[in-house]
Amino acid sequence: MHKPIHVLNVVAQTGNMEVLCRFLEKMNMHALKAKCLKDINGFLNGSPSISLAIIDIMGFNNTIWDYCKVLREKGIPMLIISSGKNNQAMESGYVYGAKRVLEKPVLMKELATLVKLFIEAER
Amino acid sequence: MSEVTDGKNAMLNQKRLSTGIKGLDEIMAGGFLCGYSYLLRGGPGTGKTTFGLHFLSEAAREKVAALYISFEESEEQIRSTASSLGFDISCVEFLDLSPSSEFFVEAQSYDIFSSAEVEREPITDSIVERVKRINPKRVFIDPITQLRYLSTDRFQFHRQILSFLRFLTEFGATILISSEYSPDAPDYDIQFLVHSVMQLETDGDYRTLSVIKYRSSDFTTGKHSYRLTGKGAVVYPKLNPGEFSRSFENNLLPTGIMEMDMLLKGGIERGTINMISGPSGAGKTTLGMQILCAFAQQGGNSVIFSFDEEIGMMKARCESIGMPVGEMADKGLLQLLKLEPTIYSPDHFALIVRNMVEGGNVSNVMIDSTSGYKLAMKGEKLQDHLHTLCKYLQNMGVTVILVTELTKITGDFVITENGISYLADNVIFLRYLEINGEMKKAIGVLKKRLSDFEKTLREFSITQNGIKIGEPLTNLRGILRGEPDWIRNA
Repeated sequence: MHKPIHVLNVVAQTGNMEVLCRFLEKMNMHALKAKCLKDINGFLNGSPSISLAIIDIMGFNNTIWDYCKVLREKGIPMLIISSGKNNQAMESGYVYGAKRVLEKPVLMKELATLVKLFIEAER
Repeated sequence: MSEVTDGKNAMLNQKRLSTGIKGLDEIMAGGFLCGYSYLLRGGPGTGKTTFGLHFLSEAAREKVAALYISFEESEEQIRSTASSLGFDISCVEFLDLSPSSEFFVEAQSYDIFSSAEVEREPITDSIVERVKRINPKRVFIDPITQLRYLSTDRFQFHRQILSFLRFLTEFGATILISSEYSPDAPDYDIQFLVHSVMQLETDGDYRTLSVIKYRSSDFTTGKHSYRLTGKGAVVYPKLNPGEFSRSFENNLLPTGIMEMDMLLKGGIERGTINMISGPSGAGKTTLGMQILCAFAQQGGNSVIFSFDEEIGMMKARCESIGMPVGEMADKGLLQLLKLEPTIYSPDHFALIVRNMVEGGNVSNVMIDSTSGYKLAMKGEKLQDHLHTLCKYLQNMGVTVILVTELTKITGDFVITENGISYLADNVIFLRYLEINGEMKKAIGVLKKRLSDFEKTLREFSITQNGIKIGEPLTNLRGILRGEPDWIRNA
């Protein structure tokens, strides 16, 4: 029996959180929902090990990069999603440790491939 | 039998479904061919949903399952509309794909994925599940244009719609699809994919329906008017005179006034179109009523369509000069109908006339006046509609009287101001004359297609004893100008 894969979703907007979680559940992954640092710390201190974090930076201020710092320190691979073409966000994303920065709207097929790739790489 | 005839027979033998609207069935050569898709295009307020409800409500009569797939209005809203219009949609199943209020309240909007990727699958799953479960024979999709947002590009949309329609027709369903379009979001691509395209248009007061294409079937071309009433949509098929004929004798009908018959050399031939032309107050309506009463007394059911004058006033006026209009109406020989030109469209009026001619055995019709009729055209071409109606009546052996008003009291002689005189077989005209400083009226015949007529004019007056027509005015000249002079050596 496979060990369940936990993916942490750091998303501010409810609609985006819902569709992202549904997407991951279809991939047989367990989606964890975080909207603030407190939520993130709660999951980091809990028992399930997090294989990947998907972060939608929309709706957060610059504190999002503090969240990324925490996740990077814990060695969790990060996939950042930015709103449209945003060079500054892209640059900051890579600076704070993102494996990949994607622009919205994200193609489901592309995201599925990347999620699988990063999780496999971590195993 | 030729191949062409074989093909036509095969087409006619194909099973058809009623559209739920009698007039539309007539336009569509009996209705929708079973198992095909039909596109109903129209802007907001053209009644697409109402047409859809008509189509689905037929399922109750046929005792088959029907499915309403809604992308915009909720099931509750649609059921409420259907109930207020009196539709029985008890056997109609709803697939409500419209957004619920939670979409707004609970901030369910998203932008992380395209809506095409997120929504397509659950929507497709819902449709497939519902169709497989209820096996509908009638499906209404309202509006299909919403599906465009579920496709990543035009090619995908084309393939998805085609595949969707095939899926439904494989279940034996006949599909009606509504489509909203605008210059920014045209629907040409959908028009290519369906079996038939119907277009609804409105300018507020006047609504028209036209069939743009109907593969493998005959249909009536042109713009047909329709109305949205408290009981749904009513479609008035455009009249096609060539489809109607009735055998009749072309015998002369006396007008009931001896001098008038002398002018007409015996009377008016049955089945002819007669124009009574003249300025306001000259006595056109009274003369027309007199002629129609005479025809009715000879046994021909007659009807007067008044676009101008109220019936009560018309009756009182006629009876005050000894014309027994009320008595004839009581006997059922004469019917007087007041029509409000702003309410009736030309096609609607034509249907009323048809029902009276075909159902009520009416053989004489008077339209009072062509100006009122023109008002009912609402910008449409008077000549075209009046020509069609008159030709239909003529083919059915009905004698027609057209009362035509001239705006000029005197001056250069004209018969009509609308270019419709070509329609008339016979033209009777009334003129005001000034003779020795006194205003008089004269009557004459300008044209009589089937026989000779008297070329002189006669004095015309309306007295308390009825219409009086005098002796021929043979010693005057310049009568048509309205300013006659006595011929000195007369």
